[in-house]
Amino acid sequence: MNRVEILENLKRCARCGKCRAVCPLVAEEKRESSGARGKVEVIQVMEEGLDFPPGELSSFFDNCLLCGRCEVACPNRVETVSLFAQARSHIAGKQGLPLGKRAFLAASTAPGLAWSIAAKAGNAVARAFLEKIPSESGIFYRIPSFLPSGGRLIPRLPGKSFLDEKGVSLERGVEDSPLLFTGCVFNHVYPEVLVDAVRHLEGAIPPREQTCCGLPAYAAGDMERAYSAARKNISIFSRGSGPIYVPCASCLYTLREVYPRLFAGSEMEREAREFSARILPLEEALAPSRFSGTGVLEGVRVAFHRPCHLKLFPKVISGVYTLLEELFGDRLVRGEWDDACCGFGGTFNISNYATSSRMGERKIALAAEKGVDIILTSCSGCIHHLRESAARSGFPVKVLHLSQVVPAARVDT
Amino acid sequence: MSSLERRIRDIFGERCSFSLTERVAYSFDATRQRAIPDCVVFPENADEVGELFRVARESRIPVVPRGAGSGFSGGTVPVSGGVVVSFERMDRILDIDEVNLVARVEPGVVLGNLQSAVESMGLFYPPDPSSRDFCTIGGNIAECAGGPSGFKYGVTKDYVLALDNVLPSGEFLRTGVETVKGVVGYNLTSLIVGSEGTLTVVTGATLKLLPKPEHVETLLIGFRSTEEACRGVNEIIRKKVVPRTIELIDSTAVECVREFSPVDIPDGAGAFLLIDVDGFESDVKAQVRRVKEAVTSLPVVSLQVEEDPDGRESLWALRRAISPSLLKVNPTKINEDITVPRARLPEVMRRVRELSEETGIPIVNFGHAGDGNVHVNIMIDGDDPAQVKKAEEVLREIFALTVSVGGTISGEHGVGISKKPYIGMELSPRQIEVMKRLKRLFDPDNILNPHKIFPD
Repeated sequence: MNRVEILENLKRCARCGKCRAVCPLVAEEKRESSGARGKVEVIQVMEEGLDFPPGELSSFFDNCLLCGRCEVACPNRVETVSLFAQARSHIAGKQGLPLGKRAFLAASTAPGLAWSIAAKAGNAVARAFLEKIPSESGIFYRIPSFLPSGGRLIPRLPGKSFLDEKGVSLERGVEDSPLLFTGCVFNHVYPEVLVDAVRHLEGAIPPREQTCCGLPAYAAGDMERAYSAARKNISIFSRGSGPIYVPCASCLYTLREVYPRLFAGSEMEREAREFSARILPLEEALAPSRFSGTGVLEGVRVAFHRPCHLKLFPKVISGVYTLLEELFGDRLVRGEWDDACCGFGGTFNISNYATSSRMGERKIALAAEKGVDIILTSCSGCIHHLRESAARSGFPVKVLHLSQVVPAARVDT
Repeated sequence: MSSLERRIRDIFGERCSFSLTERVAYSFDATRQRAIPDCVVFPENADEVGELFRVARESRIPVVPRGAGSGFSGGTVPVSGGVVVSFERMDRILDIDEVNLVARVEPGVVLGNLQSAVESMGLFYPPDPSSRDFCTIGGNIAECAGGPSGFKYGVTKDYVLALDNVLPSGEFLRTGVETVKGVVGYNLTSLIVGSEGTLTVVTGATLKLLPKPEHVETLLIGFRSTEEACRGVNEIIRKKVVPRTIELIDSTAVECVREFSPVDIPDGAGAFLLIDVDGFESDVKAQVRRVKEAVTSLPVVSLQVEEDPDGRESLWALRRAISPSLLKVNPTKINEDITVPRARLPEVMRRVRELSEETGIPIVNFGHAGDGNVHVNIMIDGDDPAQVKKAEEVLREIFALTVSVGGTISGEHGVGISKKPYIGMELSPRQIEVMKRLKRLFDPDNILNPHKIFPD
């Protein structure tokens, strides 16, 4: 986002307060500064030249999930996510990235392979953080996929990533075959989700050379890494022309919404837009008409956790409900709490771990209270965080990706 | 740490902030005017507010109460610094009494949350400003918030029975009764509702509830022109029917949404009335018939009726599409809320349109025509000083017109700092003097939300 765009966005914000009503953090912390409008005002004041005490700004802007709910609700279409990412970038440029985040990014947005190595071998950064995890803290896994802070639980790393096993080197001429964007968390940590995802995508190709969507870098204000991830993905996937299915809502948001913004006004604008137009939520492949569901997970009660980054796709959300109602009938537990944010927020989980955990544990407790056995969702961040929250709070609630329970073919009854 | 800071920290502990980022976040409201306070505090009870006043009084620092900062008057902007008292943490609904039909609430309760809570019990709290999803009851009381349903159900003042207040001396003052009737002594509650947080700080309220209307239907009626739509309003009222809302979408607003309208705009439709009628189902059907009869004397272009929630929402989508579309006209909106006797509405709307044509400044009008309250949106580029100056002249002219037909320059937003320069156009010097004396009586040290309403 260049300066002109920043100023335009600041001008567009009417300070009406509508964003307050949808912000999970305003609800949690009951403060204007937790929400979008207070942050926009601070950016405005920065633009006008007021200096802030060193250190204050970075924690101020860290206190945001970048969930984008404010953007969706904004009547004036203020691009708050871009504004706040830009603010973080500006502050990072001035003050340097906070140590924790820098290490996190070095691991997650370095070319895919490098991250695999960092993750598996447990390099110095990884070891440093592993050492901070109290060994007595419940289930203790061993992968530095997310940085620890306090009694953090970390999932066990599978031996090989999904792309190691199933990735295909994408040559030109694959034409319009459907492609799969795996996302790093599913690829490295939960490859079983992808194994299930491809059951729904006939003939889909997972290009081996793809990299992280770039959201963690973008969210941390590391624009250079965000751009390089975006460029790489656009170039790899441009070797084909088919739809690109994305099983993770946060990657989906990044590929569909953030990429065109990153390249707006640049020579790659058209390419980025063409790429984004091909991005589809995996949910689209789970069309209800393909199933007639009876007896899926007999006796089990499920709920749908609506990922923040799926907000832009209301039709997808209603489609998921139709599908789950068909499959589970009255064993689908529905309520307004479906929409409550899990509190993960990527880098937010690193910078504001206590709040993040509290929100996740509350969601799990609500599910348990309503007799839910399995929470279904479609965002790798939500899955990771809700699983950790379930383990920490001790409620027997499982968290699975939608594609893991939906039957992949018509069940004839 | 100054001794003042220490004393405030002693009262509020972690629940106060002196950081610049936090202070900036509490420096503004929906008018976008800004003044940075010295500190923000988050009380959890009235005692803390009382203690704060004792400190503030000794140190002569201003205290400015704030709900959600969604006001349109600058009323919560701390123009001379001091302490912003945010009620975001006092957000409990204490009691909903189904027999006495009252709700007892803390001031930070979000209006929409209260409405959902009472509606789930078959009850109804009618005031419905468009900020209902985030504005707070405390702010509603301070500003006497209204909304579309004001035509049938009145505004906030009609629903506040009793208040718990903290006086600027730090003392507590309970006002009002919890019964429908009550005439012992002066009606201090009515004085405080709409006083813009300048007389007392409200820390609790008892609100009147109604049974929830069982059935609602929505009509969208297209007219050729704004004036014919305004005449439609008067015809409906002449038929002795009182819809919950009569919203006017005038020709300027129709033009804003025409291109991307969520509703089909029929050829020849230049203005709309959006009408909700409510009550028992049979009663609603009768009202809808009445409304249709009422407008038959006019050349109606289109008429739609919807009764299920989705259908009704699809008609309201037209109204909701207006605000976002205004940006296409110009980046800065000066949103005014003049209110005139409804019989005079057609001529006022005509004159506003002429003013827009004469000055070349777009003015988009929509709002609550049923009660004569129209949102006149003067659209300019706020970065252009020439346009700003011109807009001020237009504004003054609209206010003069409003007062000349027996109207008021603010139906629901309040004066705050935005309308300070204009109150002399409506109020006599004696009225202003009596009001100032009242202010001195409540707040002799002028520490509670100073420099609001009255020109200095």
